Amino acid sequence: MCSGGGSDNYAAQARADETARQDRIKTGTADVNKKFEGFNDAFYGQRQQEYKNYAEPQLRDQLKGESSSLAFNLARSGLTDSSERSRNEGELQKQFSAGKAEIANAALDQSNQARQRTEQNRSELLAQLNATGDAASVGSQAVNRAGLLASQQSFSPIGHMFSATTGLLGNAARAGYYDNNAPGMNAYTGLFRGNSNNSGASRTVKT
Amino acid sequence: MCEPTTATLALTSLGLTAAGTAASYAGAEKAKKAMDAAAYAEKLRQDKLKAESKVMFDASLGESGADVSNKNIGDAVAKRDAATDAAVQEAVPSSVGSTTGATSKTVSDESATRTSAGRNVASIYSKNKNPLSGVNDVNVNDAIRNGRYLQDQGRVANFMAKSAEVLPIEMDAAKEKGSGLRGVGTILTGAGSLVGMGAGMGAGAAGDAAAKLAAEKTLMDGALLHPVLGAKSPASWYRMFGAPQPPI
Repeated sequence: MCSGGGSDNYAAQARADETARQDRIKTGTADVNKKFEGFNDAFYGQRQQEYKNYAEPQLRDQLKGESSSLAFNLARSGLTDSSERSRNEGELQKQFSAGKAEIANAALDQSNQARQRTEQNRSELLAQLNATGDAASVGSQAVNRAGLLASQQSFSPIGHMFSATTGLLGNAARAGYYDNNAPGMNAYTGLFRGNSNNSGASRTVKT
Repeated sequence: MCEPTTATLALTSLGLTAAGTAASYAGAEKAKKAMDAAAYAEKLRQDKLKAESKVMFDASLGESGADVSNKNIGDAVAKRDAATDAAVQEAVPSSVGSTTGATSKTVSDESATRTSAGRNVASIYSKNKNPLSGVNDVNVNDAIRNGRYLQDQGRVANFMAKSAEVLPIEMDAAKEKGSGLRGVGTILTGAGSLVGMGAGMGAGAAGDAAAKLAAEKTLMDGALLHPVLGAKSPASWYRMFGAPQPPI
């Protein structure tokens, strides 16, 4: 008897289709994981180092400016050989070290963010694979996304990391804001006219 | 051609009905076995997937909890501390000159002390902050790990659901197994019923009448005479005229 052969074939076909779908998803998952296996600790460590390479020169550049301003302000104040100099150098070191530590932490944060972005991409690809069972399409997208993720992403420049806490740190103009005794750039204003910013206070310039 | 008797018909009916029932039973058994096999195969598939899911859950559970998190936070903080400790060590070169040509020892000693203190303060600030950042690091890693497990569990759940969706189709197909035998059984049972009904409602009686007539013909043709009439007295004659047949 042959009755029932049709539905039997249909059931066998349905089971074979489902088995094949599951196999495609397993294979696709393995493919995606293989494409993403390059995103390991070494990769994220490299991201961390790249951020430091980017940010630390900016900090050093700022440090140079601050050091020059300090030397200038100390000399102008006649405090070059003084405890005030040491105090300011200590403050500069503290701010520089804190800035470097901040960059080191930010570098780790950058590496964490890269890890999250990578995982998000991987997760989206797998979700797509589970929904469609289309391993070929997802595999090709995995290649593209992995390439994009591996390429360098832009970083935001660091802000100004030094603050003029002592009045001698910072540029000459700012020094005037924080320390009433420091003339700052105001020293060179009003040479040939009265200084209206000094609220009537007279200033004698020796010649 | 010999006519079937009621007994023959009844026996035939019984035989057909029994054969039909047996065929139907065999067909039903075949379908039941096929359905059982399909259900069992699906159970094995589901059990395998459930086991896979349990392994993943156990692994996920093993990587979670306060004890594991505390250890991970400790590791993350240590990693942050190492990074910031290395960062704060760099000394700032002094760009301040001296009015006397060389910086006095008193000033340079104090500068060394203060810059060292500055590094220490920066290190302390970092070490105070790193435990907070370390918790964030662990949270990020936990989220990634849990997301992966969740996705893997979702895949297994999807396999279970989709596999289960095929089962009704397989059950329908399994029901069709033995349908040929069941068809034969139905035909045989039906035929048995018909024969049985025939035996009960006429075919058997006709057979019996024919048998009786044959017996009477034997009487007429044979040696048995009516004791009074002295002639052959076929029973059918009496019956034909509606007269009671005299006892022989």
